[in-house]
Amino acid sequence: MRILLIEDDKEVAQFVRKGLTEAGHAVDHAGTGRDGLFLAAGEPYDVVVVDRMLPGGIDGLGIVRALRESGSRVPVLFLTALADIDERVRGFKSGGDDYLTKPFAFAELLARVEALGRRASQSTRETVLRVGDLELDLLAQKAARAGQPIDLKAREFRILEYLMRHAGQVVTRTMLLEAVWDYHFDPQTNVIDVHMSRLRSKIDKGFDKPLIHTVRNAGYMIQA
Amino acid sequence: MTDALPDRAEAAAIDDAPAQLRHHPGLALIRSTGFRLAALFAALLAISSLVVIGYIRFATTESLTRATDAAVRADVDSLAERYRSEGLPGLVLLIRARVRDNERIGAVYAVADPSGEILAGNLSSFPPVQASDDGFLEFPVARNGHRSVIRLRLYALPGGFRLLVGRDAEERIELRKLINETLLTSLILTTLLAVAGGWLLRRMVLRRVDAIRRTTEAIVAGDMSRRLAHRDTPDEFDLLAETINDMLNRIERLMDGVRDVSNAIAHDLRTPLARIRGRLEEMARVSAPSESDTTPFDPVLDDIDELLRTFNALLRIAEVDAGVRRKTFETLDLATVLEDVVDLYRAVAEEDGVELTLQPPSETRVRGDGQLLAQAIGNLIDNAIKYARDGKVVTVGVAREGEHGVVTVADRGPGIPVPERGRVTERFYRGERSRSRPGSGLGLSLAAAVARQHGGRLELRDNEPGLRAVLLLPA
Repeated sequence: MRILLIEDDKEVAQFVRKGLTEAGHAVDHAGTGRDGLFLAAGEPYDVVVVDRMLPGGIDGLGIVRALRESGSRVPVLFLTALADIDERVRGFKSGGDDYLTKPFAFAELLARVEALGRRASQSTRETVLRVGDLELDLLAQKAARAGQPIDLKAREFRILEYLMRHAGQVVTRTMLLEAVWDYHFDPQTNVIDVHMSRLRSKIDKGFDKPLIHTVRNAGYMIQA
Repeated sequence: MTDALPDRAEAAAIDDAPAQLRHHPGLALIRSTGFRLAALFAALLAISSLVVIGYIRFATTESLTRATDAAVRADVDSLAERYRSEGLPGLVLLIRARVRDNERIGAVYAVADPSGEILAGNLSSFPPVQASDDGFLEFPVARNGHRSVIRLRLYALPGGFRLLVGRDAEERIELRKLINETLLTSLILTTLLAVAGGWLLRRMVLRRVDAIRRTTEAIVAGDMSRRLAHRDTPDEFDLLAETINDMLNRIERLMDGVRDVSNAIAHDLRTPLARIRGRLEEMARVSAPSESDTTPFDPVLDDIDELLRTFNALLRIAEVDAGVRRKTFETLDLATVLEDVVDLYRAVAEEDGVELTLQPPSETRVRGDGQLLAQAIGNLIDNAIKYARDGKVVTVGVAREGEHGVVTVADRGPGIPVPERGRVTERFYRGERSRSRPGSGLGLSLAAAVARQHGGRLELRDNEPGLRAVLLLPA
């Protein structure tokens, strides 16, 4: 993917740029809001990662607002030092797509950037999701593996749907908590792991080839 | 061998007795400084009025008596002189003249022969009294048709004749009686006034003391922003209030200092920690290319995550305490919030062998921040699951109670001893027994902070056994 990083903190910029490059992405970096907007408006990027607070006359919110007004629909991930929910609301209102509070684990950033990049290219109209021999019928709310129906609770269905929409990508615990429960806080305990282990026993038990994988220090991934 | 020792229940009963006495309402009244002040005030007032009126009584009646006595003595002196110069007839003549001149001022005279016949004077009969040694006597006589008391002196004259000179003491006795009555009346009045005054005094003192007590109690309960009211023209109470306020300001500054320092540490350490984490992650990736391999870095990464989690919780509390989120408040149903949180934690509870039961919730609308309330309730449930392990049951419920929407999370674990209950909501405070359990010790603090921010409170009650955490939110 081609990614634009607009970040004034040199340390963070270097850390993010190196990580994304190692993960196989092409990264452009701008150190001020003005340079960032200039690049974002001129080049076709798959994802823009932008710091909320920036020097150079225009801040993160301003950049995204300007991009949206010019008709660009490039997915935007905000980085911010503020965990405040008002900040998140303002970020989304200005046209941001996701939101990450500093400091963050790089794995979290990478997973979110890749999810955003995928979302842009993927059609959301599918009614049946497939990973290997696992099938999820979104209309009938039914799951089956190798033709055998799997009995899922409502929440498990939504976890599986989210995983399958991001098949082949790392999904972090925080992403699941936000997407499935709409919770934007740390539940203190490994609640997601417990839900995942239950889902996993329903999906993978009795099959030679597991579909749900744990990605160390990052999260989970569903992959055939 | 142990017969001599009372069993535990008995010993406890013995210990309880003075405690009951201590809390007896009557004794409490007597021990109250206000009551003591009032009683002292009343007693002082009564005693001082008694002394003043007693003195007035003494001064008036005594000086009247002395004046009478002096007049009688002067009378006797002049009569004695006449007797010496002119004998009995001269005395009789003088007494008649005196009776004429002095009867209206209450003077009484009598000269009697040995048989008791009155020779001169204004008494119909000579009173049956014996001569005294120059002393005054008081004796009731009938005179001019009415009885009155006379203060008199008796003299024996040669040949068995007797002389009596006196003054009517009726007026003085009346006066003394009047003064006595006045004394009694004013004593009663003074006592009443003293009691009323004492009561007022007590009320005045109590009002000031109560104001101080109520405010300090609110501060102890966690509202550090409260201050004592005081006037610009200070009395002792105002000076005391000012001193207490100064003390509170200092305590608050110190607390703010500690909080600021811990927040600053949390804030400043998060970034390098995240960087360390990133580098360790990279090393782990390099050293174990396969995802399933464990590396020596894994436990270190877990520890760093725990540390970051604690710092984040600390900053979250700081953020909640700062009240930044109030503008995101909306009307929401506590029952829905609770159901979602229970859904999130149920799996964890089952994994720990704890039965998490949700009592049938009813719609309970409050104004608040759904995220914060979910986090607060989540922390309470998480806490209950961690400590309920012996009890195996955690019961949660939501209901409307009067002015409040109430979320209850009850476990049947070891509970929290009463002395610790006030402290467990302090940041990082963890009871001795919980030191070995996982967690940052910030769960209850965060729940309490969220409750405060919503204008409610977190109450920790006894679930007999276990802990019953009650989140009260204004409906």
